[in-house]
Amino acid sequence: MYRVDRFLALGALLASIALFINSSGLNAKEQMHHGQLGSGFWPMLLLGLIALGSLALTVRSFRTGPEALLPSKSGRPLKVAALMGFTFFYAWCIQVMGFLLATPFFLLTLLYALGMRQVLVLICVPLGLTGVLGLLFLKVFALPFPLGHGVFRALHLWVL
Amino acid sequence: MLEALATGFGALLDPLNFLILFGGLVVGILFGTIPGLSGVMAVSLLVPFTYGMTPTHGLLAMAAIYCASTYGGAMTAILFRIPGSPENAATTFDGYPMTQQGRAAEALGTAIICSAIGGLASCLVLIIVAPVLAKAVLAFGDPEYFALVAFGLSVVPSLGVKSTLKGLLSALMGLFLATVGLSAMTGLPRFTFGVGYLYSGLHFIPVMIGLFAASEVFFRSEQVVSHGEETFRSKAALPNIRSLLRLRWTILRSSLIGVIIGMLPGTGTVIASILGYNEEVRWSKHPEKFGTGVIEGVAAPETANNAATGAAMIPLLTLGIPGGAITAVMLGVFEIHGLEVGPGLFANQADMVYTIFAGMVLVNLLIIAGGLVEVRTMVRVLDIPYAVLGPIILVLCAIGSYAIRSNVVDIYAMFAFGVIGYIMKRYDYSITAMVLGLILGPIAERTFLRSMLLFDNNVLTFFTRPISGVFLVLAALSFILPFLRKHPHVLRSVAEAWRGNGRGQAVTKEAESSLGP
Repeated sequence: MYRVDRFLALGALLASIALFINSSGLNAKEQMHHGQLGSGFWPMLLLGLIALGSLALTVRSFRTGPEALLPSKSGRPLKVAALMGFTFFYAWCIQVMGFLLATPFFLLTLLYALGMRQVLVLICVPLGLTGVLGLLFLKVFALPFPLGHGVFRALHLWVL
Repeated sequence: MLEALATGFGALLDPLNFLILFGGLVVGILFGTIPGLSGVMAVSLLVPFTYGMTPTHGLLAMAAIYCASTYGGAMTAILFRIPGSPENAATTFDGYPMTQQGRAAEALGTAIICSAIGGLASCLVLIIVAPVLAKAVLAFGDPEYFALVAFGLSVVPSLGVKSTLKGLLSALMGLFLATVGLSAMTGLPRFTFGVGYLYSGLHFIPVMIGLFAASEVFFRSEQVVSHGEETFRSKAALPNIRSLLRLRWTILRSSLIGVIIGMLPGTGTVIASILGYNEEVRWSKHPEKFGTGVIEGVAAPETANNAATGAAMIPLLTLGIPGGAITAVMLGVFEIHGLEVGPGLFANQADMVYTIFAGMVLVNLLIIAGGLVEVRTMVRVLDIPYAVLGPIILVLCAIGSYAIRSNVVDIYAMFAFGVIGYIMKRYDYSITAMVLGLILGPIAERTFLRSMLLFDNNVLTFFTRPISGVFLVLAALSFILPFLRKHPHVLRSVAEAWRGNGRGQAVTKEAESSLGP
């Protein structure tokens, strides 16, 4: 049992209660035949069980003495948080800049952030991988990758 | 059946089919071997490529990756104590001590041979049993399907989770996530909160790529994998016939365990390998030696996890229920190409099905040859720093998610589930249980509600119908037994209470008889 389990379990408990209330309104919206189970039955059943489970976990975490609770596993949470944030930024960039332009910048930044300092790798991997993937997916499989907006779109079309 | 199988083998003579099979083998071993990559990731990333392929080519490549990746992870498990994939975790117990004793070649050779034998055993069962099951499955109605899904989900407490409660919560959350979107029964939107993307529900492929692959990159970027200073023997010498014969009972037992566990929907190769190892310890005359470098400790999990691969295809092809994560992705490929899995598949697509079967047989034979050749190459690939591998995997994850529906929001969803997966992994929640819930959830809901509608909300129907009754009893046993094994004091106190009660009744009877009529 970790210290953070208290918050996770409590969060799950509150969310399941809120969603349970939300799903109770589902059956009211439907014109069901007499005795027929509505769309809300199954999620309500699951949310009820999740609420019970998270309640049990919350109680257990509070009953466990603070000295018995494990601290978070050691690591580099800031580095991981930055990496996670950057991946979301990459998804946004794919929309705005298009796949072919966003990917090399993403790869280059991430390689550098993860400690890669060899110039050859920093150049070859982003350009090479984007080139190979672009060729495969856009040309061979004709997958409609996002081309971006405005000038980026024009640039993409020129490259293609 | 033999004619269809012969046609299947004949189709493999087509150079393109063979090339795809060989490519799948190489990719599978590569993804199985490299820590952070897995067979699930390989087949997930292959999904976009299958758009441009015929269903036979796509599924052939996936089947090859499936078989090869299950074996591939054994290499790093034995040499570096890093299981390439979770199903190779049990291989590290005795494989790594063998490397430390300078017996790496023996361990690798045994792993190669046992993987191939296990895989071939499962193919044999797949070829013989699958068509029979396909006919038997026609007796399955909604209550039977629901009971089967319940049986699949009942494995959650045995999934190797550190906390049963956390495992159950993960599975329930997966089941709940499957309810997002339009209700299959009434068409009413549920938990969409006005977000257009959610109306079609969460597609399980971006969710799975996020939970398995992206979370792994996040996790690995935190804990940099060190290869250590272990010496690597580039040549994997095959064990001789004598040593193989010595392992015959181990191989037979583990093949049987692998096939049975693999056939059960929702179990997969991880449990098969761990159970294979456990049974080997239980049957051994020297159980105390396990963990110190016993060859049976490598043979058992490697045979069992490969034996589960072909068997896991049985519920997929005959019932449309994936046996594990990889077969779940394969189900997606069937959907992409508009193929309906189930008994009809054997009648309508016999050529394709038997080509896949034949491909799996050939892959298991190629594992022996390919395994030996690839040992050298693997060392070099393993030397690629994770700083390079991690970003490449993330880009492939993004493509794999986007390609499903050409929707950028799927990339956001994939990364979001990557974060969720990272948190789950960090705090010992079960990603596998969540994915199982997500996959089995829609089937469970649909079949349960339909059964209720058909049988006037009579829950007893599930127990009065023989097949569903048997599955539900098995599900209850499979659910309770691991819990009792984890908490033996519960069983002991129940037994004591039972004994006490019996004694009490006996005393009462004695007293009554002494009083006379």
